[in-house]
Formats: sequence, structure tokens, C-alpha cells
Amino acid sequence: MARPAHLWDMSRCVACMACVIACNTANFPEYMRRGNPNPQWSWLASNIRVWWISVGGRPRVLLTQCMQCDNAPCVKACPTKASYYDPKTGLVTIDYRLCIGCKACVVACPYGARWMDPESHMPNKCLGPECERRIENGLKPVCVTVCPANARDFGDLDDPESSISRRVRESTTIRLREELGTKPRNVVVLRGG
Amino acid sequence: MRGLLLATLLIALVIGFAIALYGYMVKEVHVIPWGLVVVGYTFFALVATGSSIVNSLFTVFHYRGPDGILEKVIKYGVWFSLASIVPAWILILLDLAKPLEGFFRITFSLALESRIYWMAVLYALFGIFLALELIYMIRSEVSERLKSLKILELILASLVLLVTVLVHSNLGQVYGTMISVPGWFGAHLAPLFIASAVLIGASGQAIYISLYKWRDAMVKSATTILYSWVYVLVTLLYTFLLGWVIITSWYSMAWISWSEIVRGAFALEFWVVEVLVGVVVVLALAIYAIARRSFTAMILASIAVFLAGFASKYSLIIYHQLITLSPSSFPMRSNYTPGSDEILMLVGAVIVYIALLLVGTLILPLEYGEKPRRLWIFR
Amino acid sequence: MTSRISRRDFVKIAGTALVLSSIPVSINVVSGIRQPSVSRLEAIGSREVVRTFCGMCGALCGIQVVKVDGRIAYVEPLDGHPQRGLCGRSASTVWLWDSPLRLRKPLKRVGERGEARFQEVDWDTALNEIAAKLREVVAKYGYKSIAITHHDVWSYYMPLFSYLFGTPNIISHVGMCHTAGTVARGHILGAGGPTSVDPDYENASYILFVSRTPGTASMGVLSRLRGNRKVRIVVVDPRMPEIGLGDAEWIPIIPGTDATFLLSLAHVIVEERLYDETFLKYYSNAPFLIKPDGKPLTEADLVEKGDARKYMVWDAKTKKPVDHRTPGIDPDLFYEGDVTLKDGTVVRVRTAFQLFRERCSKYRPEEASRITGVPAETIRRIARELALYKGVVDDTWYISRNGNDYDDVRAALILNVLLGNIDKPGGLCFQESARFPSAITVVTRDGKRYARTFYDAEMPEELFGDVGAPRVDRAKYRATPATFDAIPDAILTGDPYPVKALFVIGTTPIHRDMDVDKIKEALGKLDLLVVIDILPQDIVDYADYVLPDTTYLERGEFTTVKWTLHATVHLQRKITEPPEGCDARSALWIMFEIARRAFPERARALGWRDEYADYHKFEEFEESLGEILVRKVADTWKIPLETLRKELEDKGYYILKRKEYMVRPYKVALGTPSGKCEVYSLTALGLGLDPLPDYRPPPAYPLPKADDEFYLVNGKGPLISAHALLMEPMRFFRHLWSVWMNPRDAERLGIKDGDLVELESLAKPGKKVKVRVWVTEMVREKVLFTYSFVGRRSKLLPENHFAREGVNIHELNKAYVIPIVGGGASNTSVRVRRVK
Repeated sequence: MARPAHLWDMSRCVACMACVIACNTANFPEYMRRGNPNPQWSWLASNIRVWWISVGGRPRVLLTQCMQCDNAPCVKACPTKASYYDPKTGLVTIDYRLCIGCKACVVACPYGARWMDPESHMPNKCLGPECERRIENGLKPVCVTVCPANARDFGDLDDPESSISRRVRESTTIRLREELGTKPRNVVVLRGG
Repeated sequence: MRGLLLATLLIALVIGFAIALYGYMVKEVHVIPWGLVVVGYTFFALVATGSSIVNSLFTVFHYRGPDGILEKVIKYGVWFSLASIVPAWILILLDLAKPLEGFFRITFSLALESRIYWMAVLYALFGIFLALELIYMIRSEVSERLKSLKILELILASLVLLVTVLVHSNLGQVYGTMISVPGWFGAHLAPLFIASAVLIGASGQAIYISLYKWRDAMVKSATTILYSWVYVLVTLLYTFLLGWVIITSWYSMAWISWSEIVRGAFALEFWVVEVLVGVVVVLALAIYAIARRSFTAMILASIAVFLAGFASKYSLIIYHQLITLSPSSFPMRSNYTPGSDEILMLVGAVIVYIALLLVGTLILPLEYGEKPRRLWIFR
Repeated sequence: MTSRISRRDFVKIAGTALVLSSIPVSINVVSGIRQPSVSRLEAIGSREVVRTFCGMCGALCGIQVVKVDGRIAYVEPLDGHPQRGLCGRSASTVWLWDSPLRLRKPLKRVGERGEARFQEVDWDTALNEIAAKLREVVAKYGYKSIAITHHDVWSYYMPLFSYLFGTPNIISHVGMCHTAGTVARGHILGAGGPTSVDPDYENASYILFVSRTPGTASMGVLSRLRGNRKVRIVVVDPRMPEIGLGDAEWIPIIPGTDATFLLSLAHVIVEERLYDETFLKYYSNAPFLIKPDGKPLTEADLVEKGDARKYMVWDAKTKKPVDHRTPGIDPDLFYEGDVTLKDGTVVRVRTAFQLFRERCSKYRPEEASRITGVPAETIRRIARELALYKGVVDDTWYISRNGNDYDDVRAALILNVLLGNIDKPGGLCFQESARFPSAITVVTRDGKRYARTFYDAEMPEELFGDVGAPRVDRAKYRATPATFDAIPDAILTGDPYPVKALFVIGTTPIHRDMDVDKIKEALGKLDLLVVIDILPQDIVDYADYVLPDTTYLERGEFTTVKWTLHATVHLQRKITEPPEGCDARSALWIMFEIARRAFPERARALGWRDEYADYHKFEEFEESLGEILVRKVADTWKIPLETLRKELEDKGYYILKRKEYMVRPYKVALGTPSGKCEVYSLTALGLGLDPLPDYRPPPAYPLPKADDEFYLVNGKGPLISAHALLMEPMRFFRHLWSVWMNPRDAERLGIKDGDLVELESLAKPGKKVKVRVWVTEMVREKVLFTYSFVGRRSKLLPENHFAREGVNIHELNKAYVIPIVGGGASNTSVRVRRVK
């Protein structure tokens, strides 16, 4: 895949938390036994964050995860090159052998997509280890697979026939905080086709 | 007597390390990534580099100060700067997950786009150059040849100054390049940190030197004038810079956090500690100290600068992380109190700092004209 | 209807065929189960995928469980399954299996009821003591003093338990769920429970949900809905249901006024002639001629020995009253005129449609707006959109809210009848029956009756005991499918007769039924209370004996798929044994073993053998039961057994028959007296109820008036089920454990987000509960919303357990049951006071 990215559809999501909990069980199986699995977000050990917001007085929910920026502030901020772009996919990946836990990447991310692991004191973010394995084997990340509302997709933005590309063409989409210049790959659908 | 004191200080040094290490071992994840430990690190880095700029007045610009005080106490000044960088290094390494690997993994990564990469490089250079400068100063008391190499002295001093200025402007921009924290983002933290560093560094140096030499009337009166003038001039500069930062933030996203500092949840701390104490009281005391040659007033001003300086770094680093923007471009708020793990690391580092500072003062030949007697550089 | 089959026996019989197949198999070492592995997931290595259906709530959506290195790791949806999962509850399955809260051993009460002081005992002790107590109770009060209450789990076997214990009193939860709607569905459409008719979600162009929140229980419904790209969704609810977060129009409404809204829509549709005239004329009883006494005009009224079931309509062609089934007529929907009866009297008859129209005219949009808080223009617009888009109004599910819900659902169903959108693509459609075998049926042979189980055991009628006695709830509420509220009444008052022993299986009355105080008082008066469950629900604190049941991961089941219009069966597989130290056993074994020890001849008559006391022997018996069910389904549908087995094996489900449209009432008569859709319910008339829906203000609680008085309403969501809520991930979802309050109300009362407030019940003054507030636009002004099943108090939960947060609405409501219909009402009204 040349430019894989996530898609999340605000017009379909019902905040059922299937994706949040699936990410947790698939990628961080050991964590729920602990009292405070994700103290930084006061959340479960999951790469997906849920924001209850109001858009013009209308309640909405916003789910975020690593935006897979093509101009990622976290990659620039990393002093050891532990955060880097995967040469094949361009996905922002972490080499934990190089990471020293300085948290610059956690601070740098304008999407708050990284969270400090309370055991290893190193950053976690989407894609988790199980999802990385799934993608390598032609499957989709767990959050995409479990969604009952057809609110998620994952695929190659550079392939015009991929399901994600077709969906982008047919929908009204935005990318979050594009004005920052981060070139986030992930797509948010505002209105489906 | 001196031996007993030395032994006690060495024990204190070890205890300090142990406390800090314990804090590291019980480290927790907090709601913001950079908390009290990073504040402490930044503070001491600014003490070290700021006091180094004060030293440069003499070492680079040959300004000897009232009664030639700067020339007389320069070795104390340089030692103070060198010792002050140690707690900064301790704190920043303990803030990492892998302290022992930290420095090497960073320096050899060549991650040139990372501010923190450059921090490691610049700290290394700072430490090296400052140590070289101190050794040069000590050795030139016994080596005429060294003493005569004025050009070497000037080059070394200039390198220290250059690296110093780069360190705290880069340090400012470690925060200033974070688009994720609107309250930080911009080019303003570089000059702000330089000004803040000079203030905090000078005040630390003043307390150290003046208290150590409290019996020396000349030192007292000269430092009164010197440091008070530094406080007056640089406080005005700092206030000027910060004022424009706040005014400019009205029309940017930075206002979401600055508004809390200027008139919201954190306003009490800001106006009372940073403005009333840090600006008004400091100016008053400093001017009074100059006018009435009051050593007490200068010391009080120094304490005020030191504490308000810590508070200003705490508020700058912590509060803007607490109130930032969520991905939906709405403000998000968190609450933070320093954890016991962080307090332990800070307390340990401070104990190490004071002990080290005093140990160096006891065993290094820092007096004006004093010659090294033992082991090449020791008294 | 449910049944069980363990994978093991399935494979033994089909084993030869499978072994010879070329599909690669992977072995489940834990229980010797073989699964075909076809997914890339298993290609990763050390991963195994087991197709099954979920049991984290009662919906039973299709899922597959992924095991990594033999450990249950995570859950995926089962693609292709007509009711595809999943939700946060299902994703939390992983935490259920070895949850520290899980009930592990039989417990015997040592303190007072409610103290939750227990000692662990072995199975034999528990079962023998229960049996002894039961014999005592039966000797004094008869078999009918035994009652069982349950939810969806094990519901297939409940009719069998009725005969096993000789009691009619098997009463499920539905009185606090969908009873009012089920009765309405029966009266208007001759249908049954919520899944018997449903909107054709995949093909609908416009769906109106009133008091129904899709994507709450069955995620399969949501899957079908969200796979439909052209559908417009409108939800009418005092709070914004989760689907409102996406593309759906949310219309806030004052609680308890749904009937007004719906009848106002009907008014617009009738007045603006937006209804489907043909459908109304030929497939509904709208043209029936109604006499002044409210009864329909029949042939029996007009001629001697006339048929009282030949209902008369006015034929516009021949200008006389004719039987509605006469071919070639043109029934006049608006007829009003005089008719001479057989005895010569002249009566003025009007069509049912006229009466309905008159009823709806009470609710012109302006008037309806005043009552409901919905703008009149919105009402008009929705009515016109429904007609324009040939929309469908959902037939509802959980509806036990305000005590006037029976009429809400009738109005909703009648709207679909007006639009003529019945059993058509995109309309309100009847589910294809899977013709699944009943657990037990009564047959007659040589003049004698026998109760025959699906596995062909026969109990002769002399052993029926009190099975034929009036069921406690039916004695009070004639039309009810089930009303548990009658049980505490019977316990406390002895009316219609005393209930002395209660089995609570997989359900939690304290969070399910109204007026917690009344329930606790009733529980205190029982001679025997046995709770069979997997987790410490609040009811466990009151039990004499607590028996640990298996979870859905530890047993097989073969049953029909609920939320699909196709006739489908699916297979649940045993994925693992209970965890180490957890001696959980199936409720089927438990109930039979109790029966064997208490009334051995009854158990034997239903095919139970003494050797089944050995749990492993029982599991073999259980597998054979599953086999029988599969065989019976194959026989019924004339499918080769091997084909059915293989597809269940490969896919986990089998579609027996795809939805065939335009059958009911077009080709097959409905189960109503007229055989048609009844705008004017003759069944209701016969029960003494108003044959037409109307709006009556909620009788269940006083209406809130003062500034600090609110409606307190409750509802479900995609994270809500009694056991799922005890799973660790739920701790972090604040909106579950707080009561929702509108920002304008909050501001007026000086309440900030996260504040603690005290709610005092207006229905039961003096009853107070403290709860935290979530200030949100997702709820209407003057309304507080809470989810169900929160606000736990079981002493078996740790002191600071997150499930103690929230408010159990049943602590603040007063029991109200709709007369005759039997539906309960969970909502209430409260006064709010800020605490801190």
C-alpha cells in the first residue's frame, strides 16, 4: 500500500464504543486488569479517543486516533528518530528500541493522539501491534472491522478504486486542523454520499 | 572541621541522588506529559545559562563591574554556572524512560530537525566549554603562559557565550515550535527565555556569592549595585517582551490559555507572584538597593526574582498544556497537581545541587588570585 | 426460542465428512473442538477464529471470537450474518470470561436476606437443600406457588420448566420491556414480539423512530440501517438517542406524549388524503361499519343465524352493507348512515375510519404542539415526508415508560397501516418464521394428554400439576404476555394465590422491575429464593442460594436469529471451559437436577436420567439435544442434514427462507379477528379497552411543574446490559453513570457539569438518591435521562466500584401497570437539589 489512511464517518457513528474497546482488547490485552490503564487520558488503554462536542448547538461525537500525518510534528520532534515514516507505507511508526521516553512526540501532537504507557513510559498510538500484524496480512485494523454502523474504513488513498478512495469521492470530507500544516492523512466524513 | 563538612556534603549528595532515583523508580504517568520535573529542569538550565551570560559581561566584554567585582568573583561565577547545569541534567535524564541511554541515543541520531536533538548537543558543548573555561581560569593562576594567551581566553569565553545563548533560545523554542500548544507557539519564547535566564541566573549567582562572602564588605556593596542594576534593566526588558506576547495572544488561539492566566483560573498566581512580586516588588527593592546601597534589599530582590522566576516557568510550562485545543478545535481543560514521584525527583535534584555547589566551593580554588595546590585544579 | 448444541457431538457425527473435506482445520486444544479456519487472521499464526453469536445482551448478533495462543483475545463481527454485530458490550466479552466479579461457586445464605453474607457450599448440598425446601413449599402451597423469572437467556427451555415444576408461573422480563408494544402488535397486526414485525431497514427510504432507539440492543439493526445509503432517519425522544449523533433528525418531545404526536401525524395524513386508500379499503378494517355501542356490524346483526365473524362494510357500488371479504366491492371509507338490524331497529353506523378520523381531529398540529412541545410545522412536515417517501414508523422495542405506552404503539402501527406500507419492501414487514420446534407441546393420544418435549420425552397429564392453573399475572392482566409485577403482589397479598418460591435466572429484578422497596419487601417474604447468574446483580444479595451459571462462551446453542426478516438459524459454539476455580454449570442442568431431587418422577417423565447428575454425562445429553434440533429444522425445511450442518459449521448461520414480501395480509390473513390490519382493534374492544388509540397523560407519576421538578426518563444504549455494565471498560464512559441534564436547566439551578445532585421522587416522596450530572444538549429541557442498570448496590461489589455510580430509576418510581395490557412504566418524576 502506498498511502494507507483511516476514515471515520461522523454522519454514521453512534458512539457504541465497539472500536474503542476492540482496540483495547486486541492491542493492549494486559492493561485492563490495572486500576488506571491510561492515566494521561483518564481512559482505557486504547488508541481511540472520544470527544463529546457541540457543533452549532447540535451534540456530536468526535473519535480521533493518530492522523498519520505526512508532515508529522511528532516525527520532527523526536530526538532519536524513534518515530519515523515507514518506508513502504509512510505510516508513522515507533521503533521502541530507539525511544528514550522524552515525551516530545506526545507534546508535539496537535491531535492528542499519543498516550504514555504507564508501564514502559513510552508512547502508544494507533496502529497498535495487533493491527499492524493485521495490515501486514491484508486485513483491516480492528476498529474498522468491528464497526456496526459502517462508520469506518482503512485503505490506500493513492488507489482510486480502494473503498476508502471511493468513499472520499462520494462524501463531504474534511481533515482535522489542516491549517496547521501537518498534512493529516486520516479523513473525517461529514456527510455521506 | 572542613573535612567533616565535606564528608557531610558528600553524604548529602548521595542521599540527594537516592531520593531522586527513588522518585524515578516510582514514576507515574500524569495527565500532562511535561510536568514538575520538566519545569525544574528548565528552571535550572536557565539558572546555569543565565548566570553564564552575567559572567560573559566580564569574560567577553571585559566589564569589570563596580569595584571590579566581576573580575574578583569570576571563578565563583563560572563554578556556579557549571554546578547549576547538573540538576538540570539530572532532572531531564530522570524524566526519560531510559536515562542511561538518553544522551547517546539522541546525540548519535542526527535528528537535525528535532529541537531536543540540539539541546543534547548544545548542553554537551556548554558543559565542555564551561569546564574548559573554569580549568583555564584555575590553571592560569599558576601558568603564566596560559595567562598570556588572551586570545584563547577570549575565544573560549565567546564560545561559552554563543553556546549559552543558543541553549536557552533553543530551549525556549523546544516549547515554541509546538503547534499543539497554542500558548507556546511562536518565536517569542527564545528572547523571553534569554531575558528570564539572565534574571534567574543572576539572582541565583547573587545569592550564592553574596551569602558565601557575607563578611566581605566590598563584595556586599559591589554586588548590591551590580545585581540590582541587572534586575532593574532585565526585569523591564522581560516585562516588555511578556507584555507584547500577551497582547498579541488576544487574536490567536493562544488566548484560550493566556486568558486563564491573565484573568481566569490562574490569575491569582500570575498577578500576585509573577507581577506583584516578580516585577513590582523586585523593581522597588532593586531601585532602593541602588539608591540606598542596601545589601539586604538586593538579597531580598534576588530571592524574589528566584522564586518568581520558578513560578513563571511553572506557569508557562504547565498552564498552557492544561488548556489547549482538542482536535475539534474546541478548548480542552485538564487539572494537574505534581505527583509525589515528581516532587521526589525535584527535591533530590535540589539536594544534589546544593551539596555539589558547596563541595565545589570548598575544594576548588575559586578565590581571586588563588592558586590550585592539589591534583592540578583543586585547592 | 433457544436451544443448545455443543460442538463436540456435532463433529463426531459430521466428523467423517469434515475430515475428508479439503478445508484446513485447526484444533482448539482446550475443548477438543475442530474449526475450519479460512481467514487470513489464522494465517498470521497462533490465531484461531470461532464463529458464534454474542450473549452480552439479549440481541444475539453474529460475531466471531479470535483466540490468540489459546486465549480469547478479541471479537469481530460475523460478516454475511443477517444480524451482524458488534458493539462495546460485545467487544467487552474478553473481560467477562475471567472477570474477578464472576460467580464461581454455589453460595448459601448465612445472614439475613439483603446482607449478602454467604458461605460456599458444594453443588450437592445446595441442590439437595433447595429440593428439600421446594418439597416443603409444594406440600403447603402447591406447585403453583413456585415461580420462575428470566430474561432472554435460557428462555427456550422455560416452557419445559413449567411442566418440570408443574407451575404456570414462568414470567419473563417483558412486562418491563416490550409488553405494551407486543399487545399492540397483536391487536393491530396479529403479530407478536418486537422481532415479529420490523421495518425493512435495508430498503426503507424514511424511518420514523418514536420511543425506539436503533443501535441500542441489536447492532444488527444498526448494521442493516447504516448499510442503507438512502434512508432518512427521524427519531422522536425526550433525549437524543445515540443514532442522533450521526445523520438523523432528532425531535425532542415531552415524555409520555408520543401518542399525541403520532395521532397528530395521522390527523395530517387523513385530512390531507395522504393515506393509501386501496390498502385501507382492502387490507385493513378501516371501512368496517361500527354501531353506536362501538361494536362492529356483522352478518349476525342483519340476518338470523348470521355469522358474527362476517364484518360488514358499505359497498359503494351496490350501496349496501356486505361482508368485507366479498370480492369486487368498493368499500366506502367514509360511510355514515342508517342500517336496519334483523330485529327491525335502525342504528346509525359509521366506518371505523370515520371514528379514527374523529379521534385524530383532537390532535391538530397546533394542539399537539402544545402537549408535546414539538412545533406544529414539524409535525406537518414529518407527516408529509412520511407519505412522500413512503416511510415506515418503527414498531418499537423497549416501551415500558410512562403507563400510556400501549396507545403509543397502536398509533405508530396504525400510521403504517394508513400509509399502506405493510409487508412491502421498505415497509413494516412480517418476519419469516423459522418454524423452529417448540421445547414442549401438548399432544392428545387415546383421549389422554401428554406433554411431549422436542426430544420426545412424554409427561402424562396426571403429572401436569398446576400447569393449567391461572398464571398469576394473567389473572390480573388478561392480555399480558408477561407482567412480573404481579409476582411481588402475589407474594405480599396472596392474591390470586400465594407465591412462595422464586427462581431468578439470568435476570435482575431490582434493576428491572418497578419500586425497589416493594420488590425487596416481597423477596423478604419468600420461603425460598434461588438466583442463577454469572455476576453479582443486586438481586444476588437477597438469595438463599446463588448458583453460578455458564456464560455464552462456555456452552453451545442453536436457535433462530432475532432481528432479521429472513428465517434464519445460527449456532453458538462452546469456545472454552469456565476459568480455573469457577465451577459454573448450565441452568438447564441446575433446574433438572433440582427437579430430580425434589420430584424425581417429574424429572424422569421429561427424559432426565439419574446419571445426568454427572455433569459430563449431562453435557453429552445436551449435545444430543442440539443434534435433535438441527435434525428437526432440516426435516421441517427439507434440507439435507449434511448441507445444514456444513453451512452452520462454515458460516455459523443458515438462512432458511429469505423474506418474501406481499404475503401478509395480502395472501395470508393476519392473526386478528378480521384477518386484516385493525385500525379499530376488535380485540381491544373485546377486552374492554378503547378500540382506538388516544392520548392520556402519563398515569405512572405526577407531572413535574415547579422549576426544580423534572421528568426522569430511562432508556437503553449500545453499552447497556445488566452484565456488560460490570465489565471494566465501562468505567470510563461518564455518560453512562451520570444523569443527563439540559444546559439551560443546569444554569437556572446553578448546577455545573459533574456536580452531585440529589433526586427526590415525586411519585414516592421521601425516596432520595444522589447522582452526578452530565450537562448536555442531548436531553430536552425539563427532562433528566438515565440509562438502565446503573446505580448498583450489591454488597458483593467492591466499595468503590464504578457501577455504584448512577441512579437506579426503580428506586424512585412507583409501580404502575397498564390495566389488562400488563405493561409496566419505569419513568418517574423528581425534584432536583444540588448537593455539591
